[in-house]
Amino acid sequence: MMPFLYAGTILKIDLSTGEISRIPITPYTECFLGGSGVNIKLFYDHIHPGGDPLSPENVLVFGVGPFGASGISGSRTEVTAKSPETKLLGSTNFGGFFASELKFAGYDHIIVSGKSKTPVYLWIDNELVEIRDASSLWGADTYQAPELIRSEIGQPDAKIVCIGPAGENLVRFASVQHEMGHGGGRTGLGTVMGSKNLKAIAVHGTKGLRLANSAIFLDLATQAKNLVESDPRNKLLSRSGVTPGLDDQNEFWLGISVTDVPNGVDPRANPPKTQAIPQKFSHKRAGCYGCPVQCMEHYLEDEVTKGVISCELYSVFVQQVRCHDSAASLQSAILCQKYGLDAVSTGGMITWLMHLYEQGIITDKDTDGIPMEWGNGQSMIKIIEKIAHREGIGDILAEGIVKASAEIGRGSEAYVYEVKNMIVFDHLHPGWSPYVKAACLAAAVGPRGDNIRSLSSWSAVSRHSSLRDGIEEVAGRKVDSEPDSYEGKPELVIAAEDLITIADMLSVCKWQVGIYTPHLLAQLFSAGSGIPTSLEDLFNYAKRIRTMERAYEACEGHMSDQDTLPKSFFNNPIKRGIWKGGVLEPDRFEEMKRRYYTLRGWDPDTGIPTEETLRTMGLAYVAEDLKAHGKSQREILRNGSAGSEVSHGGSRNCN
Amino acid sequence: MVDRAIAIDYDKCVGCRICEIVCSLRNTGEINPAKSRIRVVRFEPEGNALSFPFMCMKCVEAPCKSICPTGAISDDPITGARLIDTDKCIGCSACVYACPFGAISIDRVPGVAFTCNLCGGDPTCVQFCPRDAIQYLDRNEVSIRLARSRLENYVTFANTGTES
Repeated sequence: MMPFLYAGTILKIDLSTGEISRIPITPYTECFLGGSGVNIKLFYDHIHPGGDPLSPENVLVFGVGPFGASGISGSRTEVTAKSPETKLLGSTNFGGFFASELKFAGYDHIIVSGKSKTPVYLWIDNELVEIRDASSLWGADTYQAPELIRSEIGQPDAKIVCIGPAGENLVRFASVQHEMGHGGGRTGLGTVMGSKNLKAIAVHGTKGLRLANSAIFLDLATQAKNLVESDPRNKLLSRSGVTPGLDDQNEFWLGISVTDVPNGVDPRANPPKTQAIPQKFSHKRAGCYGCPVQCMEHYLEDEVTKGVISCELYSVFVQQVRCHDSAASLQSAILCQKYGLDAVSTGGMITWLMHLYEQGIITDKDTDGIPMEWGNGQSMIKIIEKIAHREGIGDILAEGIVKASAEIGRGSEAYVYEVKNMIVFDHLHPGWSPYVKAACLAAAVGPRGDNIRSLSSWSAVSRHSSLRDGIEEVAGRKVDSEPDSYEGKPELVIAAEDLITIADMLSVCKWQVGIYTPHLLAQLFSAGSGIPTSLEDLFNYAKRIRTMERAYEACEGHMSDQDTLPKSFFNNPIKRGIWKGGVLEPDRFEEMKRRYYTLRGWDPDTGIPTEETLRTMGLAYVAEDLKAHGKSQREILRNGSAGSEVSHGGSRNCN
Repeated sequence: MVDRAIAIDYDKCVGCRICEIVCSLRNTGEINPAKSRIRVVRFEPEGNALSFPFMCMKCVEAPCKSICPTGAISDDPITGARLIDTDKCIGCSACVYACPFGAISIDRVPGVAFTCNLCGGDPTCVQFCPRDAIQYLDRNEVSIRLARSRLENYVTFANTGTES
């Protein structure tokens, strides 16, 4: 019997052999809930720790949770694979119309393994699943490819995820793009698609999703609709998108010194406004399936600027690089989508180059003649093109910031803001973050090396953050009370991580999860699934996912010492502004980490889940794997030899 | 009989498809756009994206009703919605071809036609539409409301270059 709210089937594709198989989702849903939950279980069961992320052994899992087609804001698709950027757990999440279409086609998850000899794409039309030749699509950008595929298969309603030239060229931070404006950027999972010669996945479905009690669900959905539509932050998002919030946040941060200005002219004295873009260019609202908010802008101007953007694509190419040229900012954001590049890593790379240029560490000669002065829009565009096509300096940058800074040298390392080899969000910066202890902890212990999972620093300063309500409800403490204190921060980070995990497992938007309230989500899930599920149950599912993620990383040899931040974050007091003097002390930071590990049921020294915790969570087999695998993997890492001899646990039920 | 009609404002539709979700939930107990009485068609011509909801427009001279060989389609005495007698319907699709909007379909199982029944006078799609793109109005109000909406949109666009 297929569980309610699930389509019922997991699709398995081996691109090496061309084998296509289907497995029922039922055994997985007992212990793991939905999108990110079943994803991590499937990933864990299929991955061989120690392998190269770009080898055929890597597995790429797409997953949609129970609310992926239900009209509860989101319709998010979770993507999981080993990250080419961090060589740890890669996860990213995108909205749009793919999640619901996959459900309607009859599938909750897709596991892609192996590697095709030639470029291919998948075509899933209800029961029909085909691996089709993509040689004519290779090289097409992510706005062109869906159109080409739709016309080839003759299904105008097919929904498509694809990679652009960056993914094909194995740029380490390539994104998975879904139509205009939607994409999973972080951790380079588009690169994994590229390494498998998988250009795209096209889906069309006409099936339905059964609910246990549709009348109660519809009643609760009315409550949910009222909460979401009456929220003042959503009214602003619906009307003006994210840009007013981003400008607020920027203004706040500008009060805080980042670097000393060598020539006496502060380029941030007249900060660029993100709002300038929607104010200047004609657009209409856009967004995801089943969401009343529609927080994105669809620009209609001309060939160059036609596209949909939101969120980081704005802040990165306006504020972070201090660009006043609105057209160039917009074009950079859209180019990143078209080429299939993670905007955060790409923008972070450009910011880093501008920083180096300002400091005289690099000149035009290092950048193929491109002047990298702050805010030069045309230079941004050129660098983006070079990265996507791996031309000149772009080829060095395409390998990721750690390798690029090693190549450039000359002290450029000091300006690298990365965690676990991945560039961090601008939210995390030595110029202000040391004051926000929760943000530092979240970024260090999180699996992806950025703090989007907890968003604590952002929540602490932005009045537009809707997540803070949920975090405060769960943590029982104010997000912005004494951000500088180390007290209570591990608890806060855990609450934030668990709340975000609930959003990702249900396929609900992270921005809306706090507004819907976790309590109402539990009620909706109970009505839809027919399984009485309390808020506590949801949190237990979330905690199990987090521990499973950690256990996998431990199998990769990951230890507590990798849960850290760049040197510039420690013992480096903030120089100016209202947070002046804020400092992150290494000892106190380690104390926070130990407390976080302990609360999670992990070993306070190593950060590895304890056997007792794993057994309590029904993950005894993981404990066995850790004993065999984690230890040997760490030995291998210590001794510097590649590869792994230890076989992995394989597919087993949770109990 | 209440002389009300559905008014669809294409300019306001953002293509979220919430109407399809709640319609199918209300009328079939599952979430299934293919069985929704209202559908949203999306076009993406050259970087643009246009969404058009369509549903039964309650034609006064209804081709579906005239063409039905078994007389399975009648009018709801209160709302005027097209009602389909599933005992009489033979699933022949004549109505599907006759409908000028594509607003009536055949459910393969059990093999009968379905179309909007106005949810008994309180359409769920109208309740849930976040942009008021679907409204249920006095028939005389429809055209003037749409005209006003077009005009407002035109004025907004002329002033700000931005569509609502």
